[in-house]
Amino acid sequence: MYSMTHKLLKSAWPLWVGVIIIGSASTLQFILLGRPWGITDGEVNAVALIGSIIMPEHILSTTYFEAFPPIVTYLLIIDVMLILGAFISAVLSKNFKIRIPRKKERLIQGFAGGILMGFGARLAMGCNVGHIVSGIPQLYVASIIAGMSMIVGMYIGTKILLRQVRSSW
Amino acid sequence: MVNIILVSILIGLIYGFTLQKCQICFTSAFRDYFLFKEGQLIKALLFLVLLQMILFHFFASTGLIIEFDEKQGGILSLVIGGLIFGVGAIFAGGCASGTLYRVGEGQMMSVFALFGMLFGIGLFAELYDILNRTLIQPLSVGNIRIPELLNISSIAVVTIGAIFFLIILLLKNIMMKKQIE
Repeated sequence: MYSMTHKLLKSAWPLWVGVIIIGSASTLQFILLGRPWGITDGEVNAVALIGSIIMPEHILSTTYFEAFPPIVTYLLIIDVMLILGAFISAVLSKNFKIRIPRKKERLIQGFAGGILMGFGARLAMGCNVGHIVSGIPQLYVASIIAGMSMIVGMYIGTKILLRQVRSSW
Repeated sequence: MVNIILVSILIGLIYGFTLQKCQICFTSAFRDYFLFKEGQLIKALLFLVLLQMILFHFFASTGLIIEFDEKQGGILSLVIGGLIFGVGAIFAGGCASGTLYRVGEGQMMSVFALFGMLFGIGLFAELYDILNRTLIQPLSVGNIRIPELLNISSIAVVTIGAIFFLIILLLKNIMMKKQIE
């Protein structure tokens, strides 16, 4: 028994096990909470919350935050718990480490990429999870268009990054 | 209320734990495929979409899933937003879910990416009125699903979809075997 729990918690899991767990959890979320998995909706509430500490009046007068008020929603709880769950898993498998990239430019690249992701996901009304993991299975036309565009975007992004790496050599 | 909070906490922990354990990330899946033709993760994600498709429709038919989500937008906003997101995800080294689990692993680049995402969302909120007029409202794709668009039953679409996904999965296997031979 000890060795089994030991193995379950500390070693990596096969990919198909993970896929079945994620799929079941998202279905459970859909049944119990009324909406399948999504990442950025909860993050908009987080932005509204942070914003309302710095400039409460401005947040109240921004149209977009009428739909995403500065409150803690269950989608935001799920986002925060996702980070915590990954942290627990990483600590148990001795994978947790504060990793700072050797090239500091990578941090700026990450921040810039993040801005594009946040902006793009809101413009497309969903991220990869909202559209590909949740929307395409529901057969939504909008999700199929957005999901395909994301994959094309990743192709373009890979080409740009590859060119940068080559020119820096 | 307490139940909703408890369920959210539990489900969030399950997502994070599993994503970290299996290193599931859309961006690494597609990047590895585009760079090294390594398609293992893409196959797993395809399987995830297929599994969700069957589970969602099964539980919708039993009435446990009461109502489907809302997914809509203008064609321009969906395409442009999707492209921007895709490029950004490659730069940030992780998709929306992948970035979150990497934050939990202690990767500083992903912490910066997460701050960037929040910043990008704020930027979008600031520009929402003009973007809504120019990209989101025109050429709108309403809250419409393939079955309503083509006027056929959900079961038929799910079956066709399932066969389609299985063919892709099998074709990939065959192609890889040929390469090995």
